[in-house]
Amino acid sequence: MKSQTLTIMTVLGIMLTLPLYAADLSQLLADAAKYESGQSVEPLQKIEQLLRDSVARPDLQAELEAAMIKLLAPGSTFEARRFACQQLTVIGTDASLPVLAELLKNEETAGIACLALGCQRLPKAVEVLRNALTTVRGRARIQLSIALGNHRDVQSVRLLAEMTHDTDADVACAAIIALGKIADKPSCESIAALRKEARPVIAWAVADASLRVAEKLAADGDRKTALAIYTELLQPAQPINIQRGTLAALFSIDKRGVEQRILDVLHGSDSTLKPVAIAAIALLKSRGASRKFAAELPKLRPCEQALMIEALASRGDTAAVSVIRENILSSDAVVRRSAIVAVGKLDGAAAVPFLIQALVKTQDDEEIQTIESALGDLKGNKETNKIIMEEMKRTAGNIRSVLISVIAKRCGHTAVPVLIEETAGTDVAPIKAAFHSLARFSTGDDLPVLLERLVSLKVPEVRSDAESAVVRTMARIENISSRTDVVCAALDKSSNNESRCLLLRLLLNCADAKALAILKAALKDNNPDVRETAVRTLTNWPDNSAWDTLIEIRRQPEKELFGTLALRGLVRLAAKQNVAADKDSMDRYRQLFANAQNDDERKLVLSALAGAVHPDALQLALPLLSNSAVSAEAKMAVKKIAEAIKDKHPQIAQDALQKAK
Amino acid sequence: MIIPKSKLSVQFTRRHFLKATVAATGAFAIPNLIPASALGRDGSVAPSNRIVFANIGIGGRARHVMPNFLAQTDIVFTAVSDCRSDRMKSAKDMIDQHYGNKDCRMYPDFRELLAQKDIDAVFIATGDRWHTTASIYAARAGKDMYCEKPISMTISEGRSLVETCRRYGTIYQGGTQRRSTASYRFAVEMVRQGRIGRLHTVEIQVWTGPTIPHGKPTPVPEGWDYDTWLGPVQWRPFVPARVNGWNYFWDTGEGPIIGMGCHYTDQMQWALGRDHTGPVEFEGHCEWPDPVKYMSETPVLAETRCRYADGINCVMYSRKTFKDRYIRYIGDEGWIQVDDETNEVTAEPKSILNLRDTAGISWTNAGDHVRNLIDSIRSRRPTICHPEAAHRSQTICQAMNIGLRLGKKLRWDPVKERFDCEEANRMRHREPRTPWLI
Repeated sequence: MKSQTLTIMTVLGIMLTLPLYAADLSQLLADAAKYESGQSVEPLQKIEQLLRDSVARPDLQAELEAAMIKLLAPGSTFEARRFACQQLTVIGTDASLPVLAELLKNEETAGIACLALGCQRLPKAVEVLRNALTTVRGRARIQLSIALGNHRDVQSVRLLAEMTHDTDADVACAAIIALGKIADKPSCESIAALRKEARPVIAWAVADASLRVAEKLAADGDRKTALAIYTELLQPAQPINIQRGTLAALFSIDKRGVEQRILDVLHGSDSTLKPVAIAAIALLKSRGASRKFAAELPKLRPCEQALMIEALASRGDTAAVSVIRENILSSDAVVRRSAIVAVGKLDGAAAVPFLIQALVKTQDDEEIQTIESALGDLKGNKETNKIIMEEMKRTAGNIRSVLISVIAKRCGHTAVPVLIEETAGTDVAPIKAAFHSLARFSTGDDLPVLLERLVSLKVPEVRSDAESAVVRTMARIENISSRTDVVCAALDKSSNNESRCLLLRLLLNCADAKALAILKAALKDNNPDVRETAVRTLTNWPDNSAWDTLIEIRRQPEKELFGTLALRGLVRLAAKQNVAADKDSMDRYRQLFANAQNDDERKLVLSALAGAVHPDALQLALPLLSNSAVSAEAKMAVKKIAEAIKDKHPQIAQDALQKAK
Repeated sequence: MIIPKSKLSVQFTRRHFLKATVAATGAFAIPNLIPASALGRDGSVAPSNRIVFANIGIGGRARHVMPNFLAQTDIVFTAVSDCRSDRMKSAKDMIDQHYGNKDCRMYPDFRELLAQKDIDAVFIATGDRWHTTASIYAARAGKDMYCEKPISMTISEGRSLVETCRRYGTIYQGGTQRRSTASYRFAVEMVRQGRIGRLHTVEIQVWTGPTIPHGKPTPVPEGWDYDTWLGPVQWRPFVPARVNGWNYFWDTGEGPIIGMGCHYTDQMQWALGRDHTGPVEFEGHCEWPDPVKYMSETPVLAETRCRYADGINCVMYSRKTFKDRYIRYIGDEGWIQVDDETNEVTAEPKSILNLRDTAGISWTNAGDHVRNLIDSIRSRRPTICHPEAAHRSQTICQAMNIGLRLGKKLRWDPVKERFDCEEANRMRHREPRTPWLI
């Protein structure tokens, strides 16, 4: 086995060293040379596979390059030559330069030749491009200039400089951009001269090249020349984007003068540059910067103050935090908001009194929300929480409710005892806030105490909030019977009927056999409110386990209302099975029709039956077509049922539709 | 590994700007981009103080995102440009209908649109081949912008974009809007806080690359400027199937690995706090379209991997259906995943999910991403998806594709932005067609 493997590997090795591709290539080439869109790309894809193989095989790469050179012959289609150039982009060497040089002469093929030459960083490839620039005319020079610029070819600077005065603005601009990329001394001089000429048609290219040149000079250490160019470019006559870019560049290269430069802009009248200067403050390294620029705050317009606060917040040092804190109580809403958001990200306990003062002052819902969010984000858990808690106890109404939400957000489940305590009060807003937070953070273990609170509420306005908190807490108990047990325990303790009603309703969120039994028992309770609550709860029961009980209520209702409620509950349960309707579902519908006492009730049953996907549903609906009081509903039901079953029961559906016509 | 919480910039709501501007300046204000000028009494932004936007390229994606722009009341759209007259007209109608007027101007040549002095910013949603070129032209013309992803066709294009935006102080928002989406932000935050322990792998899944059957050239339909459609791409005949399926031809698109993958690599880079660097190694394998049946060029199935210098791995699968895309961060103590189709976040341990207290907005809503751009235009501070971040996350996908195209494991130097392979280095760049200068 071992020797066999060795033999195979040896043969494979020999095969790989032989120029096996030659024969395949010639056929491939012949096919590829004819390629035009719409034909099979198989020859092209095979060549691409060869290119992949050739990455580790220089011999194959040379062979492939030779083939691509052949593919560039005039007999090949344009698409084939384009493809060949794409391959030469990756594997081209000096060998392909002569044929590419030929392609450069033709405006139609200059583009694809540049495609191949542009990626080659070989000196001779650059020479080919440069030589072409002296011979080629027209807009092909644009392509050549771009490529030479990308090659940073200093030897083409003289030619490019001449082209900057071409009558074709695109040609001139291409040359200028290329000079900007090359950015050697002669290029810089050419560009400087062009700046002086200030010809509008090439202005954008001159500005672009100037920015590039200044950047290169600065990177090469010639800050003085770079600064001189940037100073020219910062003039108000320049477009705003040039000024903005220049100012940012100056901040970057003139580290020592940056603070003064920012101040100059802030003290100046050009409001468009001020945001750029303010944004730069965030990145300053010096320790005194926050204090220095914070002192500028009162001199700025409010919107600029807001930006300054944002910049100072990014710095996050003590001086910045202190000045931001003071602005929480600014008379300007934008400044105030900026400061509030900033302290939320930066500050700790010390900001609490400021934020609470702001809270007291404002009536704006959005601002209240921002303050709440900031208080929730403040650093310094223990100390900050303690202060917020103390403040909360001192306040009332909406402010207290905000602080309750904040404590809950900051402390999560550990806030539950505090929240429970809050629910014992009589101040509506804080109790509501407490229940809202309990809904989010309580766990199953908190359910008994929550039920206690629910049944002992002092203010009825918060009942729905309390119920909502209880329901959400119950949902967190995965074991349904555990939920029932807790509710049962509460029912056992409850001493009044109102509380029992509340607790009975909650059994809907358990919906197990035990819960059902409790409700059935409640149907016989002495108290009429308890009995009605039981009926209403059963009406919403989630599954068929309540069916027989509801049928019983329907047949012998204590009062008419209970019968109506029971029928609605039954119809709802029947409809729940519609998509997966079976014989049992149909039996239930039969029961419903049998129990329907008038045409309105029949309409109600028909409306549910219309959704049943079962052929027997038609047998129930069709006879009602002859009842003029419900025929319209019956007709609609027949159509819907027939449509739903037609794939499985085409004949029955068709017959039914015929009858419904 | 715990990475410090990112410092997200303070965001101003429109309403606060409006209130402040009233108080600040009264009736005589100089119109500029700073939000402290004149205001209407009804609280709306005075026309002179709105940021004026225009759109370049309006296909399906642009129409999807556009309502998020139109919903911002402190900006106004005044012009559109597209090389297809039908699309341009339909975009004008959409904008006019929104504003209840007929003011939206149409420019078949986007350079004319960029020459308009009253336009402050552009929303670029052309085909991918145009993204960098249009962005650079816009930056030169002094416009800030939101550009759809992918931001470039080649690594060198991406670098040019970064440098151009820096040179001109341009505010640029890359269209990887998941940075502004609650579900994704939550996942990133959990990774940064170390909730899944030390992150070791990021798993990404995009869909199976579609295949486009052969189609013959036809005359260019009336109303199409095909030469502009091609833009910087070397000429090819007009083939409807290729033009419609441009995403799957190397000249004009790069398949799902970039089309969708860049959203996820962007998230990964962000989660790792590596917006200014990238992985160091790439390898992968793929299945190409059957050339007899199909003319499309990008992979059908692919599995491609990259590795950061500290050993964190990323694997991207191109497989299954469009609905199955996701990103999963895997740490030594758990994982967290966002499913793109449903926007659902799942995690192990599940307790991680309890930390999420905000309702998720789906990735389809780019509103917050748009808002972030507008706030940045006013403050002149970088957007959440600034050019360098967008370029770096894009580079990962581009390097993955280059590795697949060369069938070679590649090492990448993220400082020099060079591969250890000459062929791969050459594929970092592509010369544009005349006259498009970048």
